[in-house]
Amino acid sequence: MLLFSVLSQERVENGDLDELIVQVSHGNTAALEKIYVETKAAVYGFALSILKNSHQAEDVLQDTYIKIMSAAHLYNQGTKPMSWIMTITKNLALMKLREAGRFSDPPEYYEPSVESHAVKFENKSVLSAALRVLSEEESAIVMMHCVSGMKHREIADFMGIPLSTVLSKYNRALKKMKNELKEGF
Amino acid sequence: MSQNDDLGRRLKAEVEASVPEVFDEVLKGIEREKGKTAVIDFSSATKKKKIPTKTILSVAAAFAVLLIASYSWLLSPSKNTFDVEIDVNPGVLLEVDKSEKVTDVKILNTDGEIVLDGMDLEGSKLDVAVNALMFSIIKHGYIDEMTNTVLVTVTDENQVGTKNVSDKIANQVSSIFKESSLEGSILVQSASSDNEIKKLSESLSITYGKAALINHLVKSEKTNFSADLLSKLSINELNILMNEKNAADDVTVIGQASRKAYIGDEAAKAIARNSIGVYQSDIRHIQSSIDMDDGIIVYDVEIIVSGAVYEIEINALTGAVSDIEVDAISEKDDFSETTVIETTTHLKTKEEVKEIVLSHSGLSSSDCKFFEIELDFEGIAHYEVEFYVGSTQYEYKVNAENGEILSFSSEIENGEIGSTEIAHEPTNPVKAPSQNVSEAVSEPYSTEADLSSSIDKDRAIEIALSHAGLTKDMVSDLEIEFSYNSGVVYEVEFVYNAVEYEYEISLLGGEILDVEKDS
Repeated sequence: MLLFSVLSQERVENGDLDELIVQVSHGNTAALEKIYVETKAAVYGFALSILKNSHQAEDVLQDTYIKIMSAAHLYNQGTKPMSWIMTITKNLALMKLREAGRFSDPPEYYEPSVESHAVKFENKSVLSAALRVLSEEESAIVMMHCVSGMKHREIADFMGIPLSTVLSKYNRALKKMKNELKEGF
Repeated sequence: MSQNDDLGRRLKAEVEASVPEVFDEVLKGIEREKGKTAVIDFSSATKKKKIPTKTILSVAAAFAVLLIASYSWLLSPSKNTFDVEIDVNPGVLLEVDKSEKVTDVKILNTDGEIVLDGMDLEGSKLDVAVNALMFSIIKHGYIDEMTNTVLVTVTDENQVGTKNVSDKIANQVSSIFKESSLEGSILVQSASSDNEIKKLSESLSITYGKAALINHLVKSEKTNFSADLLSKLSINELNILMNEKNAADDVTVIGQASRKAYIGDEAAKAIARNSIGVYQSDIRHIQSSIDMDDGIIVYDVEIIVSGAVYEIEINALTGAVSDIEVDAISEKDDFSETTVIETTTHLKTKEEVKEIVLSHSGLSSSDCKFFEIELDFEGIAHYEVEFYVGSTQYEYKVNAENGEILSFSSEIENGEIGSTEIAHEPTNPVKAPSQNVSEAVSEPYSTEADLSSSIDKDRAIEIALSHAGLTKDMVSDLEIEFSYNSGVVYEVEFVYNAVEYEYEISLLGGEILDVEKDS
């Protein structure tokens, strides 16, 4: 059931997102808010996969929508809106990495935010497992596919790597996560 | 697959639950930004430019229209000669007197003859002759979108009044470009009648003007190239190189040399990333610049990742990777400065590795499907190569530095394995097949399926629909994508009667591996 609703959400997203970005380019903040609601999880998840730090990811989350506002007029309608947004996020995240001089620091161990509301995580946090055991690229791919709903092909185009590489990395990533979660018992 | 979906769903739920609420801050940030300049340069580095497949080998190397004007000043008793050269490639020499009338026309090469086209320019004014020649050059296709540089060289023994003449001609050429809707670039240089340059032009068989230009470049010391190498480039290419290296001190440049024949910086960067198999998120710094190697214009793309700097050389016309260089650097470096270089290694390119693998296996390129090559730095830097021949999957590991095959294996989908580990020293005998069991063995495909062929998307959809007893127009939300389950598979999804179907069909043989229904 959830799968079905995820699918239909994808299609609505893409058609809507495209139109919404155009509206944002005219200064429409209500449209920006709609985009925000639709995509914030995708953007946040992706930023987390690169930065592995919730505070920095939050900064990037914020900056992404500010940038969408100022760059919307550069968006070509009909090209992939999700990839466009993710590219903004990616660039901001990389800039963040440079600023923080993060290259030699190990990533902080990720803990889900305490203020997050009702959802009780069944067993151990899948998110923590992902950020703990996956490489940057594996976690990015997993985030993009599972949270943003991007198809593997779109991810391959976005990252500039072959489709089959995305597929096998994705598969490997999920296996790693499964193993990690099993060991918790 | 449903286990994976479950994980995915949980991940999504957790991320959604932990996203902080920041929209108010976003609105505040936008207000702040409004105070700043509105123009933001945002370029998507992931955009791939289409790479032109035709190699423009036939583009004339250097255009040279030689206009040599002999100019006698009224005041000077001796004959002051002005040599005015306009270089594209056809060589035509005009001797001009002090009243700017053409007194003699000389053809210097066969292209010059084509361009002169039987016109009789003797007795006409210089500007009329320039006009006629320029239009002929354009008409005969010596200047086009991709090659658009015209070099004007004014040579005078006494260095008197050269500026005037060269400016006039440069302006004229400029307006001719405009009239013809060409975006041209004009290089204007003055040279003194120099034996050194004359010798250079003779020994390299190039026009005086081009020799003078190359001389400028070499003397500027902004490049390490020899005059010999530089002479292989066209005027257009020299223009580009000079622009890139900031070596145009003695030359006036109007307009910009056309780079349309080249694949472009973005395409070069994408090719470079792909050649070393680096993910964008690993890249600390990437930059592309134009350079020359052995008479060919190339893009030098520099990529810095943690611990290493790569320099990838790419043919600017064809996009082919011609060299990869790796330097190890200390981890603590600031990405904007490369400091301690520990080792420099040249790696084999993917094309070279493909050749090695094909000749080792005795296969030809057309036999192999789904060819994949990836650079891997675990242990010794090596390439991981994978491809299918019919239903057999081949895997190779090739040493990236010397091209030596480290291991190879072949696996038939129904579980038989043959694999060989090649020892490092060639004198050692080949080891017995190693324990190279992968998951493919535990989930063999049914032998009824046709293992030797792969099916396309339409076929996969057909298989799924007919299994469900449905047709395309009966269902909605039909979707198909690739996935992976011990091999490449199709995932076909559609909805019928508020029930959602999900099929997993193998790429090889079109076998149905899984069916799911969700209402």
